[in-house]
Amino acid sequence: MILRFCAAVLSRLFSSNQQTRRAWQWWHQRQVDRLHDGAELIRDGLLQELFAMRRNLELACDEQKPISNEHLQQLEAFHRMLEQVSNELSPAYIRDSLPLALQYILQTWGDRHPDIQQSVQLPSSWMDDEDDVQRIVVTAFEELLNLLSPYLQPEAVLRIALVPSNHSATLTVQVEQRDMQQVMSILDAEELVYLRQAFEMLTAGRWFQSVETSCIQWQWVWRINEVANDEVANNKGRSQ
Amino acid sequence: MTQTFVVVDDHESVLGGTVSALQKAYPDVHMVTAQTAKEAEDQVATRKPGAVVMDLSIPYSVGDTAQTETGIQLLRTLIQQYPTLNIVVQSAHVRSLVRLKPMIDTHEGGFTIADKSLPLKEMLTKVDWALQGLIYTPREMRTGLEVKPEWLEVLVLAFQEGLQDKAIAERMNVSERTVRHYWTKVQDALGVYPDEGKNIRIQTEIRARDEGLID
Repeated sequence: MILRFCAAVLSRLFSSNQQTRRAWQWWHQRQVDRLHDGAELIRDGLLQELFAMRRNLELACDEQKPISNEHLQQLEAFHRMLEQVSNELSPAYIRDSLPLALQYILQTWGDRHPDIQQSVQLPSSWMDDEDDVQRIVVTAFEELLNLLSPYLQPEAVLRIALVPSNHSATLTVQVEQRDMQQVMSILDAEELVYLRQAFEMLTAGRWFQSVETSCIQWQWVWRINEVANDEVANNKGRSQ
Repeated sequence: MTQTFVVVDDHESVLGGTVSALQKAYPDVHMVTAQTAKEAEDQVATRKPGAVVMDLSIPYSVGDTAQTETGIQLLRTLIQQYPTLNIVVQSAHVRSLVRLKPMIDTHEGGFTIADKSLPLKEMLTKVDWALQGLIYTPREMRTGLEVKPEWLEVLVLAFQEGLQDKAIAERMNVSERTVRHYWTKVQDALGVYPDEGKNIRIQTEIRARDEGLID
């Protein structure tokens, strides 16, 4: 009788947890979709008009009336700024490829932190999967990099690896630098705790953290579906 | 017979600008326009164009909403039905093309990608490359060097055994045309493209050795 009661309570708690997770996933997805719509408005609206303006300006240029390079450069700069805003709203490749989305984030973060060495291991192909969890992984990854930035010294080494295996994927983020004390202070940061809780809640995945003398490592593990994993394995075999 | 280009874009002003630019560069080519995917399919079927220059965010037919997915689907159809068609994608959504990478890798016609942020001169270069049957995909669409076994074999036969394309074709038991396609694929993978004053095969050899693909 007691056992049945405990089982019933656990089952209720589990369902309630699942429902809470789904609610937060839905909420997150709504925000992501809204930002993505904003990004699309820029790409499909503003950038198209700007493109047409520039093209017509370039075509109006002939040998007798050369267009000032300065005007064209201004238009190009404006185009790049709008693209940047669009990418801020919806990171590149976030709906197309997890490895490329991570690579893009690393590249733009690396441009702001050129002194940090990066060692990156990403698969050449990934599942063609409309996976909301993957989008959460991308945003959480970007958040972790931003949290880490103030604690990293020049010439620190950042190692990133994304590996699928069986029915799960593992993203490893490892930091090595001479003064490990400085980077270890991130472990006390409240934001890191929030990020961990949000990641585990939204992805139903696991967050592992390990500290050694010379490095700190985070490993995120989440489920991927069987069909998707087979696609990666098949593509890996074809490209080898 | 006059060559035809089919230009696809649902923005009137963009379409006009692109057609004017292409007409100036290719005065003897007949330009045909399409503003929907359906219209584009019909034009390609009837005109058998030398090249298609297309945006990705287009509606399927008049009255529909423009969507990147429609352009992607049109590309899939064109690549499947016209394996030697030269295609230039001129778009602000070029990153979505990563979904078609496996198909682009096996396409036998030219395939180049021109982001709408590019100046006119660079867009025309991409059109010229596609007409030559070359492949160009932005470096950021790859996570590393992706070289298929058959492309690597071409490199080895050419640069370690010194074979010409005809002999490579005989050795690999494929057509010479296929060997030329393998060259364009591996050159794209290595980031080697036509450069004035430079020999593209020698550039390919240098890059291949730098990447450790050949001894």
